[in-house]
Amino acid sequence: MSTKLTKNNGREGRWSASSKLAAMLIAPSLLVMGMIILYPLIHAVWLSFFNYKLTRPDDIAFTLTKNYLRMVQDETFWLAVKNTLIFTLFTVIISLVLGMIMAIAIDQLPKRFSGLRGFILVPWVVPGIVVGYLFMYMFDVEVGVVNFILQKFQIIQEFLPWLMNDKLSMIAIIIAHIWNQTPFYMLMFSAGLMAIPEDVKEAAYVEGASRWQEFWHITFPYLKGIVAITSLLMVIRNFNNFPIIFTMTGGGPVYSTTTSVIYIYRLAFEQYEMGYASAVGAVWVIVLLIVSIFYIKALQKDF
Amino acid sequence: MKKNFLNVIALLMVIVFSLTLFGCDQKATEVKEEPKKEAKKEEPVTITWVNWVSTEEGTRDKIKSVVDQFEKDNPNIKVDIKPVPVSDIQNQLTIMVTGKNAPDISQVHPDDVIALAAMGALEPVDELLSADFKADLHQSLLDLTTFEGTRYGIPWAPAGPGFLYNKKLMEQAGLDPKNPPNTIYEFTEALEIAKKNLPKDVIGFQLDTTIRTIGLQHEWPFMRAFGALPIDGNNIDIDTPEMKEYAEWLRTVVKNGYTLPGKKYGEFRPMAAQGRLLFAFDGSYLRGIVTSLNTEITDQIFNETWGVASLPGTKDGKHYASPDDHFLVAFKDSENKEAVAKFAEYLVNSDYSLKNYINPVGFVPATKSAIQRVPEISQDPIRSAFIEKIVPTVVPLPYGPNYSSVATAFMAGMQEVITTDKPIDEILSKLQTKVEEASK
Repeated sequence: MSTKLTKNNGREGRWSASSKLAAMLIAPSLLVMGMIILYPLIHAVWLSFFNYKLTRPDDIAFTLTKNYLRMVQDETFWLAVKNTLIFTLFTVIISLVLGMIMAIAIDQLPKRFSGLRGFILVPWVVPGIVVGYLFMYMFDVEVGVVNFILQKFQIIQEFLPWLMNDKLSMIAIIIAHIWNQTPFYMLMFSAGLMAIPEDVKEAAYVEGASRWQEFWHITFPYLKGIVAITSLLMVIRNFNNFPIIFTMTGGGPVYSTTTSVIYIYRLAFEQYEMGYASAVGAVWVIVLLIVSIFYIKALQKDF
Repeated sequence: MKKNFLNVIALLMVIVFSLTLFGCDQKATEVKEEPKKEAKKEEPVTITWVNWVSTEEGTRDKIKSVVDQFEKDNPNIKVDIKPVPVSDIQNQLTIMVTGKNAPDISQVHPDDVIALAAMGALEPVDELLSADFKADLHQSLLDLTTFEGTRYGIPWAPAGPGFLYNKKLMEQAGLDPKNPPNTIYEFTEALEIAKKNLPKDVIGFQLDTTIRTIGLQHEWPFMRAFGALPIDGNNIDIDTPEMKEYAEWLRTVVKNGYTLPGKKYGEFRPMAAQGRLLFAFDGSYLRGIVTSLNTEITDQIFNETWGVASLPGTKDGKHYASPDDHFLVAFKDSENKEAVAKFAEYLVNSDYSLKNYINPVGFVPATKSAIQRVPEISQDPIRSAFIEKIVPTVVPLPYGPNYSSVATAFMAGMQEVITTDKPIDEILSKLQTKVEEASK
């Protein structure tokens, strides 16, 4: 809300009539939105202070810090944090690099190929749950096309249990997310490339700059802002990513692809530990808020 | 003055708008409530039924026909089917109950009955069902879902996994189909021989290794075959030589490719329908599912192909099977309990349901009178073998309010055994602590 306090007849701090009117008209929607957004948040934080297990309604008790202390000692929680960081880091960096390469490659193509951008966007618009199922079958130990291709090219001898190996499963979900998210970066970078003034590029050619020099000294500086903003946006998105991971592995095998949101889900809806799940959720909200602050600052920054 | 007037007008608009909203809501509630009071007597009631049989290809059409017939026989009751996949059933019901949006009736597993009863969500069956119907039910099944002295589950379709062996594949592998493996050691030996002699795409046996309560139920008889009893009431005893032997066996069967890791046990059924599964650990209804998945397989072909035996047992020939019976539960918040009871009794014991669902799918009926009323049930070799060889070996699982936490923690440990190279001792020792924590 950007309602400003204005001076009214020399009396400082008083609201103008139009500001008051605006505030009153906005108030009902703010009230409704506040209830929708704040109530669940406050309720979750409140729940985090309780020993609250859905299957034990007779055993609900206020414990204040017990859930938070448990979190500090909970190996699985820290493993989930580690998995989230690995998953996000690799997904964002690889998607970003691929997205930029694709955008530059398409930018070089003649105009009649401009429709290709729309075609490449398809993975981005496919719902996460569908992407999850697609890749689950592609990586299936018995009928998966990935194993089939790798065996055809004699890279592997036996079919690999991609989704049932603690190391391979993380690689599989990262690949699925890269496929899903790269078009988004490509779209953003394509828009950025279009904004580079032609005369700057031409000046570089006239000065005899190589393609690499042109990229490094002209293209990339123009794309820096997009790199920062999209990366932060996708870090937030991947910190919260749920459907593809849940569909492909459910967080398994064991906890090898359990990210923080999957862990919260497993605690809340497989083990019904609402109190502890709320505590993990509350901590995760704080982490996301911190990343969001960086994102908002990046938006305001002039790159 | 003009500005003040504007402020007053705006304030009035906000108040009027807010009141209108509340008023509309109030009016809507009033409008909704009035006919509802009258409707209870005259209009048909609708009961919501959550189940997984409507999601599965092998049972979907058959159960739809039973519901349609029930609605014809009871024109005042409509059944709103809410299909939920089997693996999500407890989760979805817990969410529904917590959100004060429980269905009227649901299909559940026995462990779900206890979990929901512990939440205080269920209606006790003794007050719900008719005396005749209760007397007709097999009492052991009715007693299986007792929580704190009260019975909450209505036995519908007893379906504990038995040991089904593909006689044709056994012959092809050089094994004797008249002499299926009797102990877990003979079973492992048979898998080894079959792996060498059968085509690559044949899967040795069906084993659920997912982190689900069903996973524990599926693996339980194998653990017992090694003499392990990892959870017995409040006694957690995982770090034992017997469990170590089981875990090493589990790691070996996965590494040697005798089974597919990470699969739900239902995912092996298409392989059975394609003639690519040597040993199945499934319910008596496997025939119904296989014949639905592969229409070239008739009941006769299935009966000629598959045999039933007690699950591979201990060295000294003790056999164990776990219960996985399909139950029905009525929810305490249901406003149509009478209709729910009528529907439940119809599903379990009506001639139509027995002839068109229980019998063709291959379930064992839950009532004693069913066999007299539908004789073809007892003439079925698969079902007879289940009644004779599997049902007497059923042992209870460690059900309780924490069963879900305990089972998922336990199965996470079993997955660690098959997906990592960590020493078994280390895994079991950690698992002991984790399961102890989960059981608190």
